[in-house]
Amino acid sequence: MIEIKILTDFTFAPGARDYDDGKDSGQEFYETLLKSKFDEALKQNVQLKIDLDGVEGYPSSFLSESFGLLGNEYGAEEVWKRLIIVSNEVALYIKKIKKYIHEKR
Amino acid sequence: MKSKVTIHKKHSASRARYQLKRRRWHNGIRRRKGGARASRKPLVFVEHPAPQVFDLMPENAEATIKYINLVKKIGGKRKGVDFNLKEVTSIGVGAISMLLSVMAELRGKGIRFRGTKPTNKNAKDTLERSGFMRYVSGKISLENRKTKNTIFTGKKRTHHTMILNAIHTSNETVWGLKGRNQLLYGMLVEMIKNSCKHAFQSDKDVRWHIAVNHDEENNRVKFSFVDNGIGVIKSHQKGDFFKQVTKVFSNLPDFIEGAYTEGIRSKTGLSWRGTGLPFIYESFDENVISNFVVITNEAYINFQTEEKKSLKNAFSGTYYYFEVNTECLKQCFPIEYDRN
Amino acid sequence: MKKGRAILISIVCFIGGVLLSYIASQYVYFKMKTEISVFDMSISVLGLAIGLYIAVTLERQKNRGQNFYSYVESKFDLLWQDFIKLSDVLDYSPNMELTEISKSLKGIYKKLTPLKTIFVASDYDEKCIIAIEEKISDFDEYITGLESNNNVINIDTFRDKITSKCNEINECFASSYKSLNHIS
Repeated sequence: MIEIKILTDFTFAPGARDYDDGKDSGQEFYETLLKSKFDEALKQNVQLKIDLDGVEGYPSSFLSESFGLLGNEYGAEEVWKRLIIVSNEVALYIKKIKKYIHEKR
Repeated sequence: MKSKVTIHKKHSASRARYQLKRRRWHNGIRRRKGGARASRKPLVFVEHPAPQVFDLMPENAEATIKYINLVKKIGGKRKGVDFNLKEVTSIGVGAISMLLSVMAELRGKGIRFRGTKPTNKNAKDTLERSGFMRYVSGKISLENRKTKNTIFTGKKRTHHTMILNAIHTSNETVWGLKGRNQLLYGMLVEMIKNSCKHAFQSDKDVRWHIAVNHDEENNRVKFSFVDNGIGVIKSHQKGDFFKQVTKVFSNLPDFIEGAYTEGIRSKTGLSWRGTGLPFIYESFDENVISNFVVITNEAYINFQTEEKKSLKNAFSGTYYYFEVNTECLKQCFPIEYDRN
Repeated sequence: MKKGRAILISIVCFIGGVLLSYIASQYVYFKMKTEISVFDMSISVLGLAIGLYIAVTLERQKNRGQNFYSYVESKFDLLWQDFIKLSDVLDYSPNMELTEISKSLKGIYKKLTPLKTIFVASDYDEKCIIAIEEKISDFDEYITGLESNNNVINIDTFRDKITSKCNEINECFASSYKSLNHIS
């Protein structure tokens, strides 16, 4: 299993949608970390575990951009079946991520 | 200063006029550089007394916004502004942050300010404790100096982590523990980014203000967010003649309500965007915040009391007010990281 | 000082009550008897003393119940919130680690044990707590028995059954809450 813990691997305070919105955006997260880790998980045919806990919070545009791009690139079903999302603090984020992965771009 | 231009019969009258103009222009520059002789005209401060009840409750919003608009108009004529708050008996934190947002806009245009505090003790204490005085170099009474209340201002490039301390201390007031409130953080960042992206014509004009007021007796924290941009309605209609025309026939408060509860198509035309306003509303729907009020352009909506009305005095910008109290969904997680 | 004052007030009220009761017993056929009857006086004192004893006992029982209720209700609330969080995560997630689900369920089970002990110690019926324990234990067994791949369960495959088990446990919590209210 490949793991990402956003608090330690990316930032304690996620930003908004894209580079224009400033540091630690969803686009930055996708391009610098999420895409490469998902590629690795695909190659090794294992799950990708993403731990969302411990950070200050997630603006919807952050989740929409990062997971929307992931779903668009690799296919919603492939992405959804390969993810393990840990969000014990706010379970609602898992529901939102599912929606953004399946959103057509 | 006597003009040194001498008219020679050989030179034409137009050349003489040109030389005179040049001479006067140079003189003007020297006068400005001289400092003491920079301006001979004294600054005229236009005074207008604020309404007695200076807040944004539905029954008082019209009068308050009318005053705010008057200040903008006075400032726009390149005069000084004198805020006479002497007769104010009740003052709301939302109105204070709205006033501050207008002052920030006018200060950028070189407008000067002065003012009189309310004589009413409660109103004066509210004003001093709000954090407003920090921006106007005003004196604060000893008993009002120790306060958790704060107003902070941001621009386009302001990092969103500026709001973290406000969120942590709000949890301390409401739940007794300094901690993270994930959904509140997400909502505030969304408000800031919406403002930066859509409310202003140019990036350098972007100014947003967040006021945080702690009511420790009732374990309640009041937030207000203001920007002096163009407002949600005008932002949606920007560049679209059809929308501008049909605005006359549409019910604006209903439109604004729909924009928050259902979303409007993003101005980028991309279907997966345009989630900012609904996400802000979601925090109210999920009981993360309460008493959610929106004032933008001609629309006033209180989502808690379901009160909607069209304002005769439009507010050019967007204003949000909401509270976090013990009736809200408890979102208080320990801070697990070390920023240093 | 406060206690002394309370006792003084109680004594004064008791004497006042006895006098009132005695006077009322002397008022016969719209006439007031002038002779002092020792028997009537004793009946008044006894009656008031019994009434006072009943009131104090009932008050103590009510306070005991309320204190117990306040303490237990807050613990119960936290436990139920923990379970709701877990069931929400199960509701939304595509895949989850088996050990994580089991750990969360065992955590909730462990917190039920001291609650049950308090019920027993306070002479209250602990049936409602036992019912929740059984449901959680049963759910844990079900989850551990599911087909997993490298410790990961595909929740989507078993979602309906998992949702129905979570609903059963929530119903159990709700009916236990009702029994708690009867204690108060």
